[in-house]
Amino acid sequence: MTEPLLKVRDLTVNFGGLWAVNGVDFDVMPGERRAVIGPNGAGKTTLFNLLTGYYKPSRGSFAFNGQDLTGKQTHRIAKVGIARAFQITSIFPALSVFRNVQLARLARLGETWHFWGVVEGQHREDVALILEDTGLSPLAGERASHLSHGDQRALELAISLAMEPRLLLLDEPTAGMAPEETTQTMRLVRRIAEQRNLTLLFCEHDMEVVFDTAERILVMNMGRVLADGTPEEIRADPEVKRVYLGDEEVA
Amino acid sequence: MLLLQLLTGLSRAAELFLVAAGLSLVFGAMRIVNIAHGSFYMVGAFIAVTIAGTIGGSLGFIAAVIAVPLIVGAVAAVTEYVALRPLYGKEHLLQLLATFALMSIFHDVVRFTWGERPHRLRAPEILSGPVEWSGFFFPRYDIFLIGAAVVLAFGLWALLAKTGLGRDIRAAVSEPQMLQLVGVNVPRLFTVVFALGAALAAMGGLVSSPRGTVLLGMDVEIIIQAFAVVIIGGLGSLRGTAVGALLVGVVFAMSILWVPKAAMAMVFLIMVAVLLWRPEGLFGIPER
Amino acid sequence: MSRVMSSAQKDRLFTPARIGWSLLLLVALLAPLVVGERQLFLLMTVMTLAVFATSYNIILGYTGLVSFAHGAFYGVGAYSTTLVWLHLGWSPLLGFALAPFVSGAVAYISGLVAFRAVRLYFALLTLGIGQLIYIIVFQWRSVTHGDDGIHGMDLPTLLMPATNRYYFLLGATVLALVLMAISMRSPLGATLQAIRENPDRVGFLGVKVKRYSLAAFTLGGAFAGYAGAMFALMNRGSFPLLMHWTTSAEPIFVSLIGGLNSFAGPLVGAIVLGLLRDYITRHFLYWSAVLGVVLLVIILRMPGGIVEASQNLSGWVRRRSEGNGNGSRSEEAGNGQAGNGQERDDQ
Repeated sequence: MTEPLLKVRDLTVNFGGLWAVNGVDFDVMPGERRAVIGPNGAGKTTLFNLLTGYYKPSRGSFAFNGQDLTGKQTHRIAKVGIARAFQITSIFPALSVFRNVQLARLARLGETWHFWGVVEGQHREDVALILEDTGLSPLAGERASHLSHGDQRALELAISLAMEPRLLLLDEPTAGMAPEETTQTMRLVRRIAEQRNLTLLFCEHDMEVVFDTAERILVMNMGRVLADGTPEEIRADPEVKRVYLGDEEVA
Repeated sequence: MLLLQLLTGLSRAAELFLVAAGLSLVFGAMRIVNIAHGSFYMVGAFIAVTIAGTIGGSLGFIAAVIAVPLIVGAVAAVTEYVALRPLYGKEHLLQLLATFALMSIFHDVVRFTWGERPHRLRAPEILSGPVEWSGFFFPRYDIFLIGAAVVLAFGLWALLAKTGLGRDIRAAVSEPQMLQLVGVNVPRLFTVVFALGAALAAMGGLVSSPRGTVLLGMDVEIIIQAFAVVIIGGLGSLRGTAVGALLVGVVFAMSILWVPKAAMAMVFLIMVAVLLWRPEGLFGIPER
Repeated sequence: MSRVMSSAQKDRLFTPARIGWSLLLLVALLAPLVVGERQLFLLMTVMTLAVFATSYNIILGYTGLVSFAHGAFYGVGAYSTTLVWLHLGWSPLLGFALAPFVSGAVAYISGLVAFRAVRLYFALLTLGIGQLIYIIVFQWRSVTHGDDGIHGMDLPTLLMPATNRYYFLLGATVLALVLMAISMRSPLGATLQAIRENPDRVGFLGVKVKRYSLAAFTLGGAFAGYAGAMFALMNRGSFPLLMHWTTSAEPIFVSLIGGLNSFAGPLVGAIVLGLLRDYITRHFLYWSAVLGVVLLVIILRMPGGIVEASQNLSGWVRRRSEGNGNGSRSEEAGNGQAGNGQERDDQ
């Protein structure tokens, strides 16, 4: 039996009396495509913040690739192989698309402190490859803030990819997108994940995306795990239906 | 002697409170660090000199007390509308630098209007002179200062806790995103807050003048101390400002007794210490 | 020099930027032949200001930090030079070489304290630290002569004539600017910009943001000291007012005028401000007000400063002459994007 890539045990965080994430237990297997769903306020983003070290848990732990990462700082966790693409696009607005990705590359290779050399053309091939994969090649010289929303999401993804992560956390990757964009994006994400042998953990509101892409689904509600299983199991789970899917259109 | 120095420290704290309260208020509600705050302090003092000098006597002083906050408040409102409002939502850096530019402008306006020589503002008779208490003589004006600050602190607290405006301000401080959602006219609120802050600073300038001279450079001098107070106490908290003012005022006054040259340095050391221990200040709101 | 260049621009040998720099250097080299001594001192002041402002640009323009302690580091540099002459009898040239290291060390220690605080408080904390240093220098009369300052420093005979001093400082300026340019064009410079744009994201990339910010702060402080030493050499002395926080305002103003978004901005701003100030203060008393108004106008209308405004202009001109836009350009003149580019709402 293969070891899970990510092991989360009793992960809990309390904000001023609110148990945003409460006793969450789950695993993510290597190469898996895992979704986290739940109503607004269920704790999905908080969970991601915990897993990337942005918040420190009040209780519980999580381990990645056998290494305990509980309480570690964000930059340490990033170095270990967990990358995150943000729900609210978090790019470098005044810098070019190329530079955005190049920076992630430099960070990955530990070259950000080099105070010599001209940064302009460094790692051109690597960056070009990633830009091509995410469909951003024609926009390489554009200032990131000038990009359309969809392209910014793609850039978001590109930056995460440049980190060569083993686990990619996608925070609502299709948020705010039209249906065609959504299909395109998720197709891109799946292709990249397969190409690079990435493990995906993503949270989403679009149920079609979730049931199409995810191999296993974690359902959260009010900070706790409500259900955990394959799409069929989740679809059939009465609790889930009552709390969540009851209000949603299932494809 | 010690007691006298303590009183001096308290009255200094009172001055600082008046000035710093405005600064903290503006920051808390508008998230702007107003470097020109000291300018309002200075302008207030100079206008007071003119009014009191023109009318003369105790009446002049009273007239100044009434007129100065109004005049300076009005000036501040106009300033906010012209120079700061266009910058809301932009980089905080730009806002900070704009207030810096304003300070430069005000400095020269004052210089142009009143020249470079020092001026004096005399306190009215009833407030001057010593008061005797168990064999010691205390300056009456210091007591007045402390009393005025206490009254104003209470007034501010009442304003914040009991009035609609106060409720809006408190909302701006703790839940800025909610403000527009609940229907508050944010630009107008900001103008009011800014004017209020400036009026407080001007009052501070007015009431501290009789104890020293009124001259150019007051703006720079006070803004540093006011910043120390709000850093220690925490921006955006009235309680913090009061505590910070007390700390700075008393520490400074007491330091004068033992290490006169390093009194200001003592204050800064405390400021650095507080920041190392609690980066937001003793009662400060977190930055986000 | 914009930080985002199209590939077309890079391949040309005679870029507008390079032509500009060469012309400037040429003018600077020939200046002593045409101007008198008073103007030479003015030019030296401008050069010192340019180095000072560019050093500040590392902290403000690149890393996005507002610091009011920079004047203090400048003063420390000046005093390092004069004090070692005064008390140890060292040559001012030695003092000049020493100054950046002393200032760098002071900046490092200050940074260790200042970076404990979050961004907004950081600015205020630097204010306090700067003033603390000022007060120390001011009060420590036995060593620093306090308010009187130190005067009449003996320079090597070769540097006594104004023209020679001018060329020495010109060389020093070029050296400083080249060193700073190299480090800012490097991956480090790009990382600092990323920190300015989105410090959280940089952390998520695995970079220790505070460490890099401290490095930028130290580097900027060291070059501020370098500029201070230049001042000391030029004026053969130093005085406490150099360290006052209002001195820290100067590079801010200069950067604003010239533009925060480019390496050359502060240089341009220094030239404009230096010459403008000299002219105005000779004819009109109220320089501060003029400066304040100019600044406000710039902040409100052209937040990118002169350099970006002129880039926008040249970009617009280029686009018009090229017909349809070829490829992608980052300077978009017409659609009001002439801001600093920091469209992310900070904090």
